Amino acid sequence: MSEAFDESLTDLERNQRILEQRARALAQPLTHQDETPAVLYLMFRLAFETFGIESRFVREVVPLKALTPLPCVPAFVAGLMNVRGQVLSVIDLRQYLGLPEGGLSDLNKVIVLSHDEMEFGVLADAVLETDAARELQPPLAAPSGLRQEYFLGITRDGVLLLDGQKLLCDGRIVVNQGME
Amino acid sequence: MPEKESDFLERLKATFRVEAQEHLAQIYAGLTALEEPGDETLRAQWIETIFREAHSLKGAAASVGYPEIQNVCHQIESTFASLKRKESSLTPQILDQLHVSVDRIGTLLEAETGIPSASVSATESVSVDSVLPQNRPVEATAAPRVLSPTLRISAEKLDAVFLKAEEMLAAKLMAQHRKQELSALRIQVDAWNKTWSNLSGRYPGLQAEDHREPGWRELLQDHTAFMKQLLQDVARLDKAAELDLRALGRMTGDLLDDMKSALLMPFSVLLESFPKLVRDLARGQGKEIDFQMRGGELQVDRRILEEIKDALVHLLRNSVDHGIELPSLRTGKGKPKRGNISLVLSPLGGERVEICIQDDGGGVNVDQVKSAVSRLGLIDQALLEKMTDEQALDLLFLSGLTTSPVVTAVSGRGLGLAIVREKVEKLGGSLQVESRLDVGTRFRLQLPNTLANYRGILVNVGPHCFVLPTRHVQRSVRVPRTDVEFLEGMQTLRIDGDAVPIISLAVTLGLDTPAIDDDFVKAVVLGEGDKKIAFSVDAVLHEQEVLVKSLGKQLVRVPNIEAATILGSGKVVPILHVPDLLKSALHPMPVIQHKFQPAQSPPAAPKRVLVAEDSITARSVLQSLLEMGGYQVTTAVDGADAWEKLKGGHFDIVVTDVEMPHMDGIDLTERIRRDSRFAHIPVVLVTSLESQQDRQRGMTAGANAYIVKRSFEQSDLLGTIAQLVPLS
Repeated sequence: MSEAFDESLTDLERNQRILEQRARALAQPLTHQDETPAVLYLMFRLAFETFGIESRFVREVVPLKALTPLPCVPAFVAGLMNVRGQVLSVIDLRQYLGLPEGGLSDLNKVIVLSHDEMEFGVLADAVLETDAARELQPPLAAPSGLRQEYFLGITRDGVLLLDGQKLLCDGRIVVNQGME
Repeated sequence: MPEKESDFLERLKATFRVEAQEHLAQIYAGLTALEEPGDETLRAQWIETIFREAHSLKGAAASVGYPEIQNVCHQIESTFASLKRKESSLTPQILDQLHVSVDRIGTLLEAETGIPSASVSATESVSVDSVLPQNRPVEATAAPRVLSPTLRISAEKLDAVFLKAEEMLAAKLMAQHRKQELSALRIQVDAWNKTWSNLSGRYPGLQAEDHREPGWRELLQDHTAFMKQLLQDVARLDKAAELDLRALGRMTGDLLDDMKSALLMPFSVLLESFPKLVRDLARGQGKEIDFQMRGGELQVDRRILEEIKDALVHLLRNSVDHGIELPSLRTGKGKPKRGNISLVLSPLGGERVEICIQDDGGGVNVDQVKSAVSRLGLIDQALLEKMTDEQALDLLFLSGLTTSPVVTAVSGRGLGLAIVREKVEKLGGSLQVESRLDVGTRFRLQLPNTLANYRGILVNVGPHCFVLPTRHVQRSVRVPRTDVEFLEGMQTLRIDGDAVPIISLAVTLGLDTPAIDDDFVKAVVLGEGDKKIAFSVDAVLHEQEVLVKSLGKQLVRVPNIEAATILGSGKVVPILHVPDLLKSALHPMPVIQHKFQPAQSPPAAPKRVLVAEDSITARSVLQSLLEMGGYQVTTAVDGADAWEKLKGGHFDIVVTDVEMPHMDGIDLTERIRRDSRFAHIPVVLVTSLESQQDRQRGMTAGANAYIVKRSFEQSDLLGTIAQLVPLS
């Protein structure tokens, strides 16, 4: 402190010193939190719930245009869509995950999920933001009736985090039903 | 015509030169690789490669008449045959000898074909040069480079280019769609112009001359001029779009045709492995068989070749396993000890080829086929007995059938021929069998040699649009509803004298769409022979070329759906799987409510059942059973009562007793079937009678099911009703 009042210094120099001292006092050592890059999740709304899925599984988000319903498929297959000349099947996660029906849903986005050899779209009411997932709340408090195995957990602010790896890779979502 | 013959020989020689260079290059590469000690399996592969290449070159040389080249190749082949059997090993001396031999082929080629030495192609000559020991004679390996008129390109790359070329169809379809939109716009503008002219005739204020005020006059004059210009512009655009469309159509057509010819390959590439296959199989079974192939030079689309391979292998195995008898048996029959199998390809014209696989074996025992079929209960006994031998032979293609008493590792599992036929038909071909006992069997297989453009017929079912592959559609029909007859409990149509069952496509697909009340039935007839079924639709739109797209990675196989396509408007339309449809017509899909609807529909109302039963006990039992099953039940005391109630309300199904006063169940059924308002409602007859006659009468009247009271249990009745009217 004494230095700050050194008579030999000009006002300007004194001010500079004071500012430097303050800066030093306020400085914090780098924390090691950021060493592992944050896992980013794409958040979206569907049937009055907010879901998150790891963004590395998201190829793109497209507006929901004409969806062609398909006969002879499980109810969770909402239909087929034309995404720039490619035919994409679109899944209704409400059906697949056993979300309670009820209430009108304002479906207008399709999130195209892709991983290894699997690719399909999922219906969403709205796509929110991409964000690092906040702390998970142990234990999982998901709505009842949900196929819990597809969830990593629920965050403190109520986002249901989907297990993208499981959803895309466990093969149960694949329709492979020939005629006997 | 000697002129033409020499021309032909010249062309043949030119082809041979190219081929010989390729074989030689492979042999050289192999020899070079074998000079280095290395991994045993890799070496074995090279030995196999050289053996095969030498063999192929020998065959090619023989066919164009170069005996010397043939001889040298034969030596190389023998050397490698013994190497393969591990009877000798590859010493440096042998290698040297081989190199000399191969060089000699190069020299011979030069001498005989009069072209500069093609002993080795340029690329390989470099590598050979750098690897070979220095004491190699230089002149043989440093052959001048000859640019081959043939390129090797990886199949993968070619396929990728072909797919892109096919995608051009999408561009054409889009252009077509734009053109249609423009034409519609032109008509609209035209119509408005006419309306305006009419109006201005009637309302004087609309004509420029009527106005004194210059402002009005100018405005109306401008409008007239503008309309004229607009009409001209739109007409010009419409015309231009049409020309563009034609140009694009021609260009994509040419491109696809050229691509298709680039995909043609000789059948021989497929046939190469067959002699060994037959030899090995025969040896395994202690049979002696001579095997010949002819016509391997015929060209066919590579994709067909790939698809058909398994089918041909299966037929050959069949010939070895079921056809040719053991030598002892053959001698006993007075036949030569060695059996004979031939595979002959011949052009049919119209871009089709016939493959004929023939054996001089035991032939098919028609009686055995019949008894196998009857044992499995696949076909009615009476029908079987009436069958001609030819018809009975066709039974071989039924799935689940085998006449071989023993299931061997090779065949006799009773699935094969059905699958073979399915495969062949999928490629747009057909397959027949001819056989005579103790004389032999012949399978004749007709195939297109290029894959035709995929064409489809668009149909509407309620709000849904589907494509049916044109090649599967026998015809489309539009007949008065009154022509629909009831036969054996099924609605049928007379088509070319045959009674063809008519089934709703919507019901088959499990779609819950209201039937359109129309005086005409529109249907597409699918299937062949006595397996024809007419599928009723709401509208048959038109036929067009379609680009087949897969359903995506998540939908590997969906019943009744083969693939999808994208129309010019960008709309995705499912392509239906016809063989599946023919199967499901007999077992319709349960109705799946499409959960996705832009505007959600209210929960489906319970299905309504009308029960007609004169006995009060039976009536209340039925009522409570059905209500427990989730149905909404209305009761009637007899047929007449039921008829009145039917007219007054809406019902999804009628369950009726047979014997009732006033109007019995059969009369009621007939009346329902005759009335177009109710004809679609399923009718279930419930009765204590169990006589065949009664049942027959009920079915003729048009009942959908018949349940005998004594045997009816809760599940039986509910199950039957659920099949006819699924609870949503």
